[in-house]
Amino acid sequence: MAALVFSVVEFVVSLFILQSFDGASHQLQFSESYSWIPSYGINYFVGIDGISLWLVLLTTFLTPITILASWNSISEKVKSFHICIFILETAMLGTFLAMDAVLFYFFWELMLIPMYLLIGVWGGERRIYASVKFFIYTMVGSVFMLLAIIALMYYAKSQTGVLTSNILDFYKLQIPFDQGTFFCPQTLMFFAFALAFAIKVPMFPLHTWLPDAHVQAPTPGSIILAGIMLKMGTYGFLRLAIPLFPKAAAQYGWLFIALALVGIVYGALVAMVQPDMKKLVAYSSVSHLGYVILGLFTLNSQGVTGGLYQMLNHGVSTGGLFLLVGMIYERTHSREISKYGGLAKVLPLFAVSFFLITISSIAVPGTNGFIGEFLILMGTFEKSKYAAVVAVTGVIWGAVYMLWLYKRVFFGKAGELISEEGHEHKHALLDLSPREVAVIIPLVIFVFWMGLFPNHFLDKSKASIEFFVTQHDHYQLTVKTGDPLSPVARK
Amino acid sequence: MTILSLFACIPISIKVLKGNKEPSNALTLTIAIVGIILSGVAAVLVGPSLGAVYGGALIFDGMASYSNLAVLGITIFSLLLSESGVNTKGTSFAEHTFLILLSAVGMLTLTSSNDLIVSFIGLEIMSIALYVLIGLGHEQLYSKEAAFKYFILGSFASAIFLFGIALIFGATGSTTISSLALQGPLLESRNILLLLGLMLLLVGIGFKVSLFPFHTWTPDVYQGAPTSVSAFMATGVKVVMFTVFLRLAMTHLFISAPKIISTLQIIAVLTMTVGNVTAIVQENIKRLLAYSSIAHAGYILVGIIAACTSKSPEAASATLFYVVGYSVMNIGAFAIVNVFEKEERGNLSIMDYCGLGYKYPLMGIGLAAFMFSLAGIPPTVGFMGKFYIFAAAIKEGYLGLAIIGVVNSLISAYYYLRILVALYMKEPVFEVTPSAGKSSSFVVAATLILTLAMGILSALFYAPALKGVTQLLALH
Repeated sequence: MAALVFSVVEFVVSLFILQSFDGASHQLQFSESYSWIPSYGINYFVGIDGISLWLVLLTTFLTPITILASWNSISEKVKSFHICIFILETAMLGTFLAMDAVLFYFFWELMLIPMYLLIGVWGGERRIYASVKFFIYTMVGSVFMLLAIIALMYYAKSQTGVLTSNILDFYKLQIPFDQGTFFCPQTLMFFAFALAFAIKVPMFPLHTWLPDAHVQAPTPGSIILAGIMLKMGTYGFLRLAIPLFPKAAAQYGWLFIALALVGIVYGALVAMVQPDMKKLVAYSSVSHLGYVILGLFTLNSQGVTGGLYQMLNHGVSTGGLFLLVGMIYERTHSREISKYGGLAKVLPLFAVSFFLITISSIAVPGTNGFIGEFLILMGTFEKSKYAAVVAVTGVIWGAVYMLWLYKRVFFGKAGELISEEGHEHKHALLDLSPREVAVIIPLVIFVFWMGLFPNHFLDKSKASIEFFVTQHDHYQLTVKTGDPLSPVARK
Repeated sequence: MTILSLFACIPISIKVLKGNKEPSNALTLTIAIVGIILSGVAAVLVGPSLGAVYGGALIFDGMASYSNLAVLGITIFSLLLSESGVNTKGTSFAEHTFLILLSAVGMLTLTSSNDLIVSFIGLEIMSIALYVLIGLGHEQLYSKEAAFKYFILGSFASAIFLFGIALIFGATGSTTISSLALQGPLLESRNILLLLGLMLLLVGIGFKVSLFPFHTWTPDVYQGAPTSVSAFMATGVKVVMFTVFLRLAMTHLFISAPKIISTLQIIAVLTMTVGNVTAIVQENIKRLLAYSSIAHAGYILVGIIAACTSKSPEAASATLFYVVGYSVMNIGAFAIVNVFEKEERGNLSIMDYCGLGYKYPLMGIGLAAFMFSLAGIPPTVGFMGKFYIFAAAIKEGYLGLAIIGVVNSLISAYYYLRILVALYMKEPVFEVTPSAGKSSSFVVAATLILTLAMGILSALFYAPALKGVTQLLALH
């Protein structure tokens, strides 16, 4: 209970930030800077701009939902569970806010510990395998990023004379680039960062940890993992990999676009044949995140806007899907699609909620998913028509696997688990409780709010995205001074 | 140093006198701790004002006092562990305390020595006390076997170390470490005596800090020795021997012998890899910690290699910080082993730790933090230590070493996670109860706080190392 109250308080505080955030400025706002490790020029330096703003809000919004969703499903070691959730929230917010590379890495790695425990302690049968795989896989990417960060620090020293890990100073560096070879500093460092982010996203072919982690994670773990943590990767591309190494990003952008396209189609096709609901949603994430990467690497205004928007959409819709799958799993203890059927008659409220989230996931006009995918496709079309053609097929596949899932679970003959004979859970098949409705309603509201009035959200980010698109090859992000909420101006 | 040794010796002599009458453990412990704290105060307050004494054979610079404080802290922790450990508490605690303090005096001598002969004396004081300490455990068979093994091999290593000193003296006519800095030209002219002497010296040091290929004794001895003594050896000996190594490296003598540096690089790679890969298949937690300590010696050697060529202080101070941080987390891990250990090698397999995390929350959180720290995950000291070391390596152009280092920490994450899996994700297999008393729990709590504090506020602990190293470099 206390956990819920505090997480709601955090959300309210973040709403104040939203309120006083100046959407007309692309600069870093509410920044704070304290000296942390002076001999290496490392500071505790945080700030918000239009790119991180919504991701911060997404985090603070999904956390209370997660806690509310775990009300019944987590019955053992409840206190430890909430400790994990809050450490995780701290680390995620820290990652979105950090404007110091070492601080960023600090939070980035800190995130692993609570997530590892969430999967490993509260997860399913093969949780140990899944949690260790998750941990090692993610760490593989990040350690090379650490080396690249250190290398950047020494580049900063040789070019400005000061050892620093300030990301704003990193943007100003000229890192040697040679178009002809892969083994030049800028390209190598770009790939060191990109590897870490691509694993986190996860991009095809580095996605194999995701289905295991999702299937084994408890429902709240899946919601946070899909809803927020996967965005760390895409955010990392936007904040670090592309603007720090613009030339390498431009030269190898096609690689990421190609992998994103493969991911979109592959994720969708694999999702289609999954017998397990959670696995299906997990593979759909691979497909959706493919869109985000595609949007970001178009490097034009529509594409990047769509990419950012799709990050939020995915948080809402896939978070919602995991939530709903978790709810039905609590009742029947099975996620096997073939055992369901005819659920709509038994659980009408549940069926309606699932439908609303489903149409968001397949991007029906009027929902948030439509805006995001539409913008991304527009941006892609501008960049390359062929890529857009491939990407559009992904929209179709998305509709196929989600609607087919819906049909198999909710319509038709009553399945093994639902029918009168031969199941022992009948008494448990109650429709949504008021608490569960309360969890779902905010998500549904956002599905339509974001779908019908995208400008309510995009206006705050517009300046930052414009700045990113036009300036990303010499990204001179600065700190906005005179913030009302900022206690310390940067020296 | 006189003051320092005297302070350390006063409680010892009291103990020797009282030893015949077997005073109560609490009294012995109190006297010892008072002695250690007094020497700590002396190290901080009196030490720096003394500077060099005995004609420059001993110097009390910032580096010495940094390592000295670490050694004294390690000694306190080890004593607390011995007081409550299954295999050490009881009848011979007074002798035990005497030997640990004696060994600590040897360590203090080593960290402050600027003369190779004095180093050798310190080394012998430290080692001889350790040979006996290992054999003092109640387990007759294993502890005696370990003591004998360490004695035979350790004596060889000491002899090689001494032979190295003799050759260096033959080549240069001096045994002071700081004068070695001037011998670069001699080394460049391929003076065989000097080269051979340095190599033998490094072999001696390599044995004591368990570098590949001189590491094979480590698992057997750490496993056989009483846990508190293993903790003392795994940390104290490494702190002081790496300090000596660092003093040698910081003379920048090895710049004139690039072959030695490249050999050291190969040794560092092999030490890290062999330690980590072998640790994966260990079932016994003490052996696992032993192999992990071998791997960590490899990481530290990366810092030393960077310090060999570096003109700036970061490499050396990173190494110092890492050694101390490594000691903190390792003592903590051994303390938990000490808590659950039973007589005749009971409760030492990883299986015994299944499900303990919930039953004993402090131990669970502690062990989890130490494992994450050893694997180098923030917000622990292990992460900051690795950050400083790899930063130094990259700065000095050893990118390859840094890459192999991070790949190794990936490998190591696997076996550290195995312990966490047992702690939190499995049902208890055996009934395991703590066997050691409050003082071990105190050590766990203290090292846990230090592990987190040195990770989050690392600047506080890093700054003194940096200062000490900068002073020393200014002299060369």
